[in-house]
Amino acid sequence: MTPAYEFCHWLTQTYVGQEMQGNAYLFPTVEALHIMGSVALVASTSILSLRLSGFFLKEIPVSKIAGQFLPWAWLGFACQVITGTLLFMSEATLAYDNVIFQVKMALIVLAGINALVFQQTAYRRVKFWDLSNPPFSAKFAGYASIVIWFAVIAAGRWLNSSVANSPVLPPT
Amino acid sequence: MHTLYSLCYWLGNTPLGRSIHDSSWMFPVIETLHLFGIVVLVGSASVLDLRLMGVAFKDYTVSMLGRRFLPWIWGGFALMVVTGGLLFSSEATKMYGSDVFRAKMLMIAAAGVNALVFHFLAYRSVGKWERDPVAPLAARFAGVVSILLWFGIVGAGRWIAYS
Repeated sequence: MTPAYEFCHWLTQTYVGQEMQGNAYLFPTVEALHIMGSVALVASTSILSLRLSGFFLKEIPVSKIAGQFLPWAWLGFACQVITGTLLFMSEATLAYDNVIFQVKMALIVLAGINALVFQQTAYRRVKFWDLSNPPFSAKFAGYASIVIWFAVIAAGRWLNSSVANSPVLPPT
Repeated sequence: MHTLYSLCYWLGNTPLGRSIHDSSWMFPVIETLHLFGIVVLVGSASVLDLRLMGVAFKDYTVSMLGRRFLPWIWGGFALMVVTGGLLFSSEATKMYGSDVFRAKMLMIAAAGVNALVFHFLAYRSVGKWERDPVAPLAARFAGVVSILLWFGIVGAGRWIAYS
């Protein structure tokens, strides 16, 4: 048994982990909130991404769009971290060595890196292109963000069937 | 047998309904596209709703946001109708008896009525108030009702799987 598995097993045995498994209403409710959070997170980031790609809301400065929509993206992200953790706690031992779960987490990290690189490079000089055609690197960051976040949603949906269908294996 | 039930039975036995029902991958793939549609539809509708409520995006006029986001709302809605119709066709007789499904359809109808009432009442005079940071009561009310209904519809959609 690896320490990671032991940690996951411990998570499922906590009060919250047990409630998430035992209470028939809790899991679907948290799942519904997880979908609602995806609307706030992915719609907000996509609006900024479409602005960066240069074909939506062109007459509004990029910095203004970022300032107005990113707080909603962060609110959605907070909702996703909380509800996602609760869902994970109910089936941590099934998810931890699940390839689709790992792909989903890797995609989220990738989305973070993409946003960080954009913020530290093209966005630093935003005042020079706030109202003009965004530079290639900004457009690229925008397209990449849309593709990654929708892939995260798809991975989440796929994860749902893969965890539900996977046999409960004894710890090795 | 009830006409509506017969229709559901017929739909579930069409080649399309049967293939989605029998396939191991079609249902999850269509469901994924249904989730993509939620982001486009509910995300765009929420931008307008939050503006009408006076919560966010107050320095844009209502008509400008409407012009920019309504095409996305309609595009998302079209995707929802197509993917939702396909999902329904694969389990139509099951949905016929589902209270949660009925609640979801009623809420969608209510969201439509709400949008229509807004369009023909408060939106008619939009030129007079669209620059005000706080919209008139009827518009604010339509915004609150719309955002609650759409998130309720999303919640109901998730619950259908468990009902």
